[in-house]
Amino acid sequence: MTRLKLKFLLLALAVALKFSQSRYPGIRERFKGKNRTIKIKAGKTEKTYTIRNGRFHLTAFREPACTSGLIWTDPGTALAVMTSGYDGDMMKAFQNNQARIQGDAMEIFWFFSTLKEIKDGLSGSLHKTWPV
Amino acid sequence: MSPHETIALNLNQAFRKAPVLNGNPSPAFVQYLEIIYTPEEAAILQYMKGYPGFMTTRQIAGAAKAHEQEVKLVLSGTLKKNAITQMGNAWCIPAMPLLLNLAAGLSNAKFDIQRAGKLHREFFVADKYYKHYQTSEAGTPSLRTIPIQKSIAPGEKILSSEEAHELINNLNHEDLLLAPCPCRTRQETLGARQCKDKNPIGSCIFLGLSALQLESAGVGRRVTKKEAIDYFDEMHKKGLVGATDNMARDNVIICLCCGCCCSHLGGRTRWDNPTAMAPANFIPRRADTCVHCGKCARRCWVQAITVSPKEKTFNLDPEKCLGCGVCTQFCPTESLSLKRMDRTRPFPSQDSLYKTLARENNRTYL
Repeated sequence: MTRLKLKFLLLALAVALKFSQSRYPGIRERFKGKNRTIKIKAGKTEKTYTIRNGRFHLTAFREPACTSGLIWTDPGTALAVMTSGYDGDMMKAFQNNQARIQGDAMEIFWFFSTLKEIKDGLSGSLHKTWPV
Repeated sequence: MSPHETIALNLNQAFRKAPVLNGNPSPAFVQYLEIIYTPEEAAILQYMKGYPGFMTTRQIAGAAKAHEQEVKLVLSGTLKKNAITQMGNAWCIPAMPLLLNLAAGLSNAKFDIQRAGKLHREFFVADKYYKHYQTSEAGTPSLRTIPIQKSIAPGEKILSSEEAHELINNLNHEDLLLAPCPCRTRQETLGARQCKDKNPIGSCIFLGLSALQLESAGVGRRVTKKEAIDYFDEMHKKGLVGATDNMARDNVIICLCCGCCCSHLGGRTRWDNPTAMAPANFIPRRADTCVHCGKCARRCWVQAITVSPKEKTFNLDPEKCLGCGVCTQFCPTESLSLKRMDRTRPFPSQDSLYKTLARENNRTYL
């Protein structure tokens, strides 16, 4: 069940990336000029996110070799940390050797920062937190 | 160029600038870095970036043309001093607020704290680095003032994260830690602490990622939310100004500042940076019961209040007022309370604040 939930989450992230790219100028700006292939993997479950020539592609063509990857030791931790909404959980997972980065580390932090921006955009919290 | 100078220049590429003058690293800052990093460490760290420019051990080893194991060994040693930030197998040089305060209580390593303090004074005050530390080039402050509900008049609208108790209670985690206030620690070391007889050195309340980093380095004491709130109240009662990151969530620190020692509040009280530390969206209002004793004026760190007992006048300068509520704590007749006055807009998240600071400093952030 956990594996299935994680699979669904990874797919949902891809859909959110695709949707946000067309909806939010800030996300398009983030992707501009980027060529990145980022893999998230936990056990046998994995998903690759490809940004080519500044555009995110859901599937399309054959994926190039990954430029970076976040490898979790198990799907349960991956799911719990990626849905927790607290950066400290990611840090704790790293401290406990439950996750490690492959390739370009900055790409992973950039990727999660992008997801946070999308989450804020979707929930509207970027606009509604402070009405001043 | 020496490895320490290269580190300084690399740090200057991060979203918050480093003490670099006309493209050259401040000599005092380079000497400060020499206290923090041994030559062996600097030889590796010169290939690294400032927060959040994480690189894996393999990336660093590749750049330094060194063996991965050797790099890991050096970085692990640096980590024990809390002089590096680690995320598993990824590392970066700490953000400036941690790096500059390592020798002032945020590390258990035996640094030459006297010399570090003197050098800090040189690059921070004399070279005017404080401006870049406190605000962006456009004047966006990295900290904001945060009062407590007790100071706010009943019925006033208080938004989430605008008040200290609310902010702490609304945290989505339990990672809170008290560690010595580096500003007062540094001034104490230099024998220059003006508030010595009034305030204890005390602590800052570290939250989330910063609490975890300090805890892993063996610095500070973990506390519960209730303990953090009680501590905040105790320090606020002594007349210290509550301050936190200029954002509505993801906050990593709550400071309890005095105008004589604080590296941020000092921008308003000691140095020429009037936008340092954003004010809260409150301002004190006086009731008719005021006896014009002037205690509030004497306690105001930014001289926003002037009281004349003879002429029985009370004047408030809203431009100067931080809305911290310290004045309300010292009113013997409880005539002062904070009323809402919208004037600032904290950033909704850490990323949005850091991206803005980066853009205004002509840098990039993630």
